[in-house]
Amino acid sequence: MPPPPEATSKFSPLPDTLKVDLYFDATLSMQGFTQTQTSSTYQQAIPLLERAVIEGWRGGEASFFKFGNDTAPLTGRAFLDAAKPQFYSDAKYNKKTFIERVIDRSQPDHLTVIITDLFQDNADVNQLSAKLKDKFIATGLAVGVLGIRSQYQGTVYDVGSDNYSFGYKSSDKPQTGRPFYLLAFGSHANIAHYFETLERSGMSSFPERHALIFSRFITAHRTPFAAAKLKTATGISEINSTNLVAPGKRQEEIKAFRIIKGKREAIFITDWPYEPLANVLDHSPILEPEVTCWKGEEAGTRELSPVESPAGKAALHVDASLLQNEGSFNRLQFQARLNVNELPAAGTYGYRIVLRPPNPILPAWVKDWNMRDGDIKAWHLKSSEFNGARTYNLENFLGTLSGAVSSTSRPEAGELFVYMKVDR
Amino acid sequence: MSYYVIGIGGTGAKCVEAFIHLCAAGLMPDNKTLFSLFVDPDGSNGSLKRAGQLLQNYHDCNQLQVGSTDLFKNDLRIARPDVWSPLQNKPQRLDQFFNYDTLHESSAAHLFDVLYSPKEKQTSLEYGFRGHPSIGAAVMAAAVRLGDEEPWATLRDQISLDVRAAQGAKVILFGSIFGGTGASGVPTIGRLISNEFSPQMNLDRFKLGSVLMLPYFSFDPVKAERLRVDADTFLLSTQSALDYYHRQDELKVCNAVYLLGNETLKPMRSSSIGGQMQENEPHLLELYAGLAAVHFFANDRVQGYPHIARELVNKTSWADLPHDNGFSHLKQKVGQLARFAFAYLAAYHPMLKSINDTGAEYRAPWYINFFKRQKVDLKSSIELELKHLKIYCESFLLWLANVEQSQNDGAGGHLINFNAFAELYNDENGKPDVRLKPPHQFELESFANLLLPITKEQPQAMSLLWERMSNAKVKDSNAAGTGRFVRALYDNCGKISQDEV
Amino acid sequence: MLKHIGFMVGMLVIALLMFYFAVSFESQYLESLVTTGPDITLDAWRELFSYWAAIGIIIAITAALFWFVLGQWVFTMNRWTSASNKRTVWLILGAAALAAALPGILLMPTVQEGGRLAWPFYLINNLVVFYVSTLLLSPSSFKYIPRGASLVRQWW
Repeated sequence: MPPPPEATSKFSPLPDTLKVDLYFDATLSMQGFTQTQTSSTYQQAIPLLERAVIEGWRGGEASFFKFGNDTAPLTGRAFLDAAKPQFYSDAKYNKKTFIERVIDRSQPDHLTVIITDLFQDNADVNQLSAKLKDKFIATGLAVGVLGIRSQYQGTVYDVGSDNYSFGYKSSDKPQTGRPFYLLAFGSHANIAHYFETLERSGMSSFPERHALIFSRFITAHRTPFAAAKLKTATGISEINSTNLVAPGKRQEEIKAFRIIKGKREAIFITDWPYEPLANVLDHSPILEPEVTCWKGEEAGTRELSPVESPAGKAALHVDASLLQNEGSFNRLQFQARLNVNELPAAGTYGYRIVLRPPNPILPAWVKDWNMRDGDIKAWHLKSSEFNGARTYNLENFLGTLSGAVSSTSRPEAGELFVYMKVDR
Repeated sequence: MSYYVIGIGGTGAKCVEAFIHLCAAGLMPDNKTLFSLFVDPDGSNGSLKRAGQLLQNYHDCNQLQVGSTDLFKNDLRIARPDVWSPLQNKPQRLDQFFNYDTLHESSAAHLFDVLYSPKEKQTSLEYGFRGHPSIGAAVMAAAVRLGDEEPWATLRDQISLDVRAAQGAKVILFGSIFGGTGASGVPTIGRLISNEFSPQMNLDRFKLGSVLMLPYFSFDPVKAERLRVDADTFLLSTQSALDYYHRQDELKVCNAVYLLGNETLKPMRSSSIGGQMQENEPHLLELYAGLAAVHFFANDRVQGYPHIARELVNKTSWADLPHDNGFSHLKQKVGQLARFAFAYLAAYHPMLKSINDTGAEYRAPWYINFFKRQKVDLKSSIELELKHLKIYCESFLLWLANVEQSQNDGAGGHLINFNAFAELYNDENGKPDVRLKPPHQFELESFANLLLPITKEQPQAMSLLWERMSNAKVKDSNAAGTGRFVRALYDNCGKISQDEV
Repeated sequence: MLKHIGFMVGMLVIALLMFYFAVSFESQYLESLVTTGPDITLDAWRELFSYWAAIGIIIAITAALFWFVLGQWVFTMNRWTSASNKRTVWLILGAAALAAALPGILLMPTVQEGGRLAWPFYLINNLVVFYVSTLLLSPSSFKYIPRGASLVRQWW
């Protein structure tokens, strides 16, 4: 049979050179990060932003901008002024955070990073999520969120749907730090690498930070199915895939089998190493298989012609799950059971099996960092109890992003091909 | 053309014996038929019996259909009776033979008294003429009737047929001139035959030859007998006989006369007046006699008076033996037959016998090719043809051994490596004798070197022969039955000879 | 000498033909009868089958060549009685050829189903190679020692 077609989406590797556009949220709510008595985490992060670009890519170029109700480039070392309170005093920029305008002007082949406190109302969340889904997620790119707690002393504006303002001063306890976020758009590899480089460049010393990357990719590696050793095999013999499939580019994802006459059932179990990408959404270990079957039919040519076979599909039962070791998935276990009698006829059958995790789960910190509407109303009555260590609509925003990923292209834990020659 | 050989007396019989072996070896110039006859008053003569058996054996072997080859190529007709005695159905004493008692003091009686002593007149001639050619001549002249009795009548008729058909006939007489029968018989019978066919002689359609053996052997006197052959008188007898022939021109009736003799007289083992005890072993000079007959049959005319002698006094080599095609040809043919006989006795006959007794025919591929595939019945062949062949091979090898041994005193034999198949032993009288070894004791490594001198050792020649026989094919359509096997063995033994030469 | 070399080459040709045709056919035939299970792929099993079949054929043809060398250059037929025990020698070498199937039988990995079907093929291959080689190409002096050779070998 002809070889399977090339994968439609491939995890793009890290480029040698990258243009990174960094946008500072210049609204007044951000001023408090620069008014602390000691150097805040926010202030310490600012120079790291450029350093990570230079260290992360040989040809990395960082461009800085300030934005709010308008957007303007920051030339030279002007971006360092973001560590000063005056940076946020310009009325041209400090009234409203128009993240969607940054999204509109962002270039998909760049890495765009927005440094903001991410206070969005519900409408903003929907609009923002829709734009991110259309421009990035739907095109195979990713959205990354890196939340960092920082010391804060200032006023938080536009809290809740009524746009309340609250003064807030963080204490020495790290959990009282107000979060700021790096919202990154671009390829999954660039986002992950930028976050890793920031971590190495100095952010590892920051008190609390969390990262999440929303993309269709939960693992970077193709399924090493061909090399996987069978743990059990009953009524079935593995053969070289070239016996049944013309050579192609996806040989490592293919196994071929032979089932001789007289077999009612054929079963095999195997597993292979699984390396999840860092900072992707959590999910259940049980994977959902998506099976498609073709039967090879004579077409007068050297190769059999694949014809979709629903009966063939029904005859194959697949179970797959991820195995954990020290808290993270490290192997994928796979079992296939073929009811030979359910096949329509003897011949060669090809199966494409995609293994997907079920609905993703937002990590616990999201809930902890989330500011709820109900709390805002209470704080309005007692402003001293305002908890500036939370972010308004964070859970809503990240949940919407997660939904956007699931609805455009569900992540795959593995894609593999099984070919079987069946005698009856 | 037919060839007639008449052996007269015991020596004549031994010469015929040698001649027949040469015929078997294929040394005759062509494959014309031979006719043989013995003349001897002593029918029980040991040498005669041996020669007679050989002729019968040759005749049996000649029936093998070996195709167009030299082996046994000449058909043989044996006279019936094969031995003619001048005394057959006649009185055994000379006086009785000539009815002396009826002569009654006539002049014939007185002439008889002058010519013969009382001893000569009264001694029984049962065992021959006791070395007295004078007795023999008278008896022969009176007894030989070419037209009246067999086998002379058939001989005469057959020769007549040959000369009338323009094919011609050649007759050769063998005999000694130092004994009794030969000395008297050769000139007498020669004259009678030439008288009968002299017109044809003039037309060159009939030729007569004689091979006269001068003394070459001796024996101890038989003391008990008063009238006996005395070896001491051989030379004197020979001298007087030769003188007589010269003066009387007795041999003018012959187209060719071969005189053979040897410087030393080889002592024979047995001493006897005649009968079975008078069996003298073969001698080299008889081989020369046989070669003389071959020469006579091969040539119509000989110029001059050729003289042949050994090159060296103490040694006879193959180069000393005459043959029109050269001594190498002679040596090659004798060697081929010797190897054939050796191989047949040492390996092929025993294997055939073993297959006949126990089966396992796969051991001999040549058996399957020549017998089984050709549907030749081994059982009957073993009892007839193969048995005749075995007898012939034994007699040929024994004859060769004796010929060689006859040279080992004095001149020293250098012709046959007979130790490969025969051995010397002392008989019951302590006299040295030769006998064949049992075939399983044959020196197989000497198979390729049965003739002397040994030029090249070929210790595996028997094995090589076996291999060749396993692949041998006989394309001659005239070869059939057991004869195909015999032909193949003979031909391949010839190839071994060629490898050596 | 050329003829002898030709015979030995002929034996090698028989062995090669056996390997390239018979063993290939057997390997393909076994593919439809054998289930290997998890420890070895069917292709690897077939390769091993062919490998041990080749080993067996090599040993069998070595036995046949040894028979030829013995018959042509070691055994002599100077003595007619030497022919008597040669069939025993041939049978012993034939037994050695058959025994050459043992490595394959013992060392082939165990599979789930049908693995033993290889055994008769090992035996047959070795037997055929040895028997056919010696049947057709034994040295002349012993050409009918192999059973049935007198029926087959008529012209050479």
